[in-house]
This record gives sequence, C-alpha cells and structure tokens, in this order.
Amino acid sequence: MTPFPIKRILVEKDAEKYRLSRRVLEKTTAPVQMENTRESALETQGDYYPDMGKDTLQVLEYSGEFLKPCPGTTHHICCGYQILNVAANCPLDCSYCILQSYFNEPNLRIFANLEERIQEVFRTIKENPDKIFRIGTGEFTDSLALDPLIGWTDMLIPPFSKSKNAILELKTKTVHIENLLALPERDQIVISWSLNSPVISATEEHRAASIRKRLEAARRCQSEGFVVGFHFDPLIPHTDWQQAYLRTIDLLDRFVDPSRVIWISMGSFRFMPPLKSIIRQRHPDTHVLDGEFIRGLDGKCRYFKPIRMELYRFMRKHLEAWHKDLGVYLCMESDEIWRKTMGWTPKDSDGLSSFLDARVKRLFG
Amino acid sequence: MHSDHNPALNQLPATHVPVERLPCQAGPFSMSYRFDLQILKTSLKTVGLLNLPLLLKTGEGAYSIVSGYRRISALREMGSREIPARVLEEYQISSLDALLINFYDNLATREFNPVEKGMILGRLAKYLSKNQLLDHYMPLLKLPARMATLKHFISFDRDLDEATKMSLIEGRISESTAVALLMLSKKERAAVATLFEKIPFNRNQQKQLLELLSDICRIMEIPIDEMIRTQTFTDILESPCMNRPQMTRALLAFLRAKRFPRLSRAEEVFRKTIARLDLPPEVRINAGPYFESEHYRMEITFRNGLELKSLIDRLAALEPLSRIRDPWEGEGQ
Repeated sequence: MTPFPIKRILVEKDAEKYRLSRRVLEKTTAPVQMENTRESALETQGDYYPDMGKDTLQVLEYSGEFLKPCPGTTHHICCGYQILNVAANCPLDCSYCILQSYFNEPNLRIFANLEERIQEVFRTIKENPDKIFRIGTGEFTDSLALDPLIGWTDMLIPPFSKSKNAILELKTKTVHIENLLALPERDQIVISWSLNSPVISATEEHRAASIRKRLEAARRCQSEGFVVGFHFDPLIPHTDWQQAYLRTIDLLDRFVDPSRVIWISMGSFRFMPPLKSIIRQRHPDTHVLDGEFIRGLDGKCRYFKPIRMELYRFMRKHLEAWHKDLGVYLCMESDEIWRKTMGWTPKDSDGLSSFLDARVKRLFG
Repeated sequence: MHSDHNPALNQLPATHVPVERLPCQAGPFSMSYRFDLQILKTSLKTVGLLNLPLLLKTGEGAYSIVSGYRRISALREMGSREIPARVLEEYQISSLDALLINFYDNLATREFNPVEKGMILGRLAKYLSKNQLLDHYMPLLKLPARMATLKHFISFDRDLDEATKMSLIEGRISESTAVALLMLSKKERAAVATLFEKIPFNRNQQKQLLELLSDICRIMEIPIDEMIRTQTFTDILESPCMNRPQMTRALLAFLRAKRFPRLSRAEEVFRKTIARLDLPPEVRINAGPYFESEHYRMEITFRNGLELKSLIDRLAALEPLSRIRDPWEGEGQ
C-alpha cells in the first residue's frame, strides 16, 4: 500500500471505533495487533527505538488540540502558519529531521479521530472570518507519504476546498498524488514539495523521492489545476552547493509553471543542540553536521550569519531570475537577514503573515 | 526479592570456610570495582567481622561470593586462614536473587561509583526487562530513568579500558566525557587518554576538546589519534614557552579555528579593527556572541559627567570609528 516498510500495525482500543481505523485495517497487509492502552502498545514495542519505530503504524485517539499555531522561535520572524496535527513521526528518514529529537514516543502515530474532530477546526475558521488560516499537515509528518494507506486527502481536501478563509497546504517529499488527483476539488488547496540540492536529496533524504520525481509530480498537479508551493528548507551548504542548487532550480524551470506557484520558502539547517548526538547515532555517515554552526539568539544551532546570508542571496538571485513573482520568503530568520538578503523586510511576524495572506488572495481570489 | 522461597539469611548458621577455598576474583554477583580496603581493615581490626559474608556453594568445597567480597578481600590481606560466613546451597537461591542480595546489601551502606552502577545495570539486565531497570533500579542508583543513560552506564563497565574507568571513578573525566569517549575507537580513546594525562583539561574543556576533535576528524575523514599526532599538536605539547594551562588554551584555540574557520577569521578581523581604533582605555567595543545580533556594544567607564563628556568628545573626533562594520563585509570581493 505504501513503499515504506510498515511491518505491523498497533490499534489502540479507544481508536477501534473510528472510520479511519477501519479503513487502515481494510487496506493493510501488515500484521495487526489490537492493544488495550497506550502503555501496552508501547510495551509491545520493546525497549529501544533506534529506528524511532518507523516500521510500526500506531493508530490512536488523540485528545489534544488538532489545530495549533507553528511554535515559531524567539528573535525570528515567523510566517504565522497553523499546524493541523494529523499524525506524529514520519516514514521518511531524512538525516537532518528535527522530529528525531522532537517526540518522546516511537512509532508512526496516526490520530484516528481526525474526521470526528475536524469540525472543531472549521468552527474556529468560521468564527474568525477576517483571518486567513494557512494550515498545513506537513510539520509533524509528511503530508502524503502515508496517504495511500490513510486517505487523509479524501478526508481533508473536500471540506477545506469549501472554506472561504482557509487554505490547506499538503507538504511532501513523495510522489503520492494519485488520491488527490482523483478528487474534483482544487480550491483552497496547495500541494507543496520540500526541495533541496540533488546531492542532499540523494545522500540525506532517505526514502524520499528524487528531486526530479518530485518536480514531475508537481507538474502533474499543476496541469490538473492545483496550486503548488516549494520549500527549500533546510538549505545545506556542501561541496559545489551553488552548482547543485542551480540544478534543482533548472529542474523547477523545466517542470513547473512559475505563475501558478503560491510561494517558495527558504530556511537554512537549524536544530536544537540535543539533535546533534541523535543524528550522529542514527546517521553515522551524514555530512549535515559539517557546517559552521553557532548558537543562535533562540538557542538553536544555526550556520554562522554570513554563511546563511550567502545561501539566501544566491537562492533568491537565481529563483528571481527564473521568475520575478514567486512569493519567496524566509522561514525563521531575523529582520536583519531579511533586509540584507531579500532587499526588503516584513519587519515582524504579522508583516510576513500579511505578505503570505496576500499571496493566498491572489492565487485563490 | 523475586523468590518466595529464600531462606531467612540471618538464620543460616556461621560456617568457617578456609580462605583458599574462596575465589580471589569478584565473581558474578559482586558489584565492586576498584576500592580501598584500608578503612575496612581498620574496622575489622578494631571491632572484628560483624556482618558475615554470604557464600553460594557451587560444588564440593567450591564457593561463589554472594555478598562480602570486600570483607573477604580485607580479611585475606590481613592473613586470616578461615573466614566465618553463611553458606547457601545452589537450590536455595536464584542467580537474580543472589545479585539482588548483593545490590541491596551495598546500596544501604555506600555510594556506587559510575563503573559499579554500570556493572549493576549490566548484570541485572540479564534477568530483568529494561523497563524494570528504568522504573525501579535507575532511581535507586540516583540515575535519570532514560534509555540512553542506561545504555551509557552499561557501556562504562563493559567497553571502557581500565585507565579510562579509573579516570572516571577518580573524577578526572566527567560522565559526559566518558560517553563521548565511548563513541571513539580503542586507538582514539587511548590517544585522548594520553592527552588528558599530559595536560590538565577541566571538565568543560574536555567536552569542548572532544566535540571539536570529533567534528574535525569526521569532516577530514581521519581518525582522532592521527590528528593528535599532527605537528601542531606536537609543537604545542612540547613548547618550552608554555605552561600547561597555556597549552590547553592553545590547543583549544587551534581546534576552534580549524572547526570554525569563518567565525574565527571574523573574530580576528574584528579584534584587529577595534585594536587599530586607538580607543581611550576607558572605552570598549564588543560584538555579541558569534555576531548573531546586528548590534555592537560600546562600554564607557567614567567617574563623573565631565569625564564622560570629555570621552564622548574624543570619540566623536575619532574618525576611524566609522570603519567599524561587519567583519565579513568585503569578503570575496
């Protein structure tokens, strides 16, 4: 059902009653275990999770908030994104992934009561008609990696496309677009791909589709009427990085119509310090930690400022040479970096939100 | 205890066992690593053996020590020919219970060192689940109940060489340094241990050194021992002009410049720019950590308003002040 090696499925007792659980059980060929409690589900996992339980799909009832603002970070400008919390953990295995240190429980955890609780999200959206909600599911998992099994797109695209003041962004490094292409709805939906240099993609983004395949999928989505977006995040300098990133921009030019791109974000690799030892253990051959990382004002490890500026200036120059109006923005950077690399600044998070909201209005009316 | 069938240990009769029948090695139940018997010998000389060791009879005239290895070692050194002990038959106790008897016997009377903690956890891990170790035994050992900590402590006992274990026990290296050393090959570990013996790094410096060395050697794809043998290391370590703390600082500065070339260059350019300004000694100009903030800071020390005004006038007339800029500006032009 998915190209990811899911070896078993744990369904917690509280989650059995939901349609999403039944759907997963119908579609899966992996062995299924029904578990009475969260504790028993974890107990059966054994004691140590070097692979973060990426081969186990755990279906559970989620009792927290489904819609959460992006946590952002101090001293940096945030885009005001809202996260629709459909799952925790990701079947892809990018060496740089911050989720490796973010969650304290293993397994691909899928929230079975999403369909039942999604109305709360739409209530919030309706109660705030003057606000534009930019909502995405790609923060704590890949939006489409498990879609062939879970069917998130069937659940989310129809109601979101009716929304007047919200868009749903499905962010992925896969080419699992068949489900969404089969749906008639296109309004208020953004399909976006995380991009990187082909070198980083091939060596660090394990289990992800190649850059070319991602962009071929983007072309199909565009040709079928979807608005698309891209995220160059994390940018990672490596040997001949300029040439390598130019190859990705060349592929963008080849496959994508820039006039139907809602935005392209850029962010350089950053991480909380504890992630370093986890990356070292889980990905001993990685080169993502080779750069000159300093401790930023928010406590995260970031590239030394002139290196970040070099990355952004280079990317902006070549993206804008491709097309002038791509909605290029920086993710989690300071006002200074904005001014010195982008030639303008939104000044603060509200300013960046307004910029992106205007892009939404322009593309979706 | 796990068994309901344990005999009442304190009701077992005392048996006098010839000392040559007792093993010299600690055996499978002991949790003692490197200890000083002097105080124990003084105690035994003064008040005698108050608590009898507990032995397990493993065959005709053969014994394992369940608890009391230190007492037996002290009595042996004091020349005792027979040692009074309580003796259990093998059918009377399981291996796990023997381990637990030793554990609780020691827990009540002394602190375990980090290697002993690893020894305890490693031995218990053969019989108990990791969750039992995490939930029950790690708190008893005053360790955080985390899987990584469990893994590290078991490795302290199992994987570190004797010299490094001693450094850890004696506090010459921290537990986090020991964890970092576990990531290295035996050859690399030995080279680092020799370096630590040559010059004194405090715990923070040890951490810095290992992090810098590991990063640089990964990037350069060379082993750490090879890096430590390079000419720069030798020059610093054999320099007649430096004392040991200066050597430590010089090594760390060398490694930092290698790991962070652009940052180090920027710091150097900034330092030289400020030095060339010919500022009054009461005035200092600093950049924030790693130049991450856009702003620089000037500090003026003065005794009164007149002095402040005079300093400000001098600064206003100091034309080179306008040359202060981000130290990487102009790079590559």
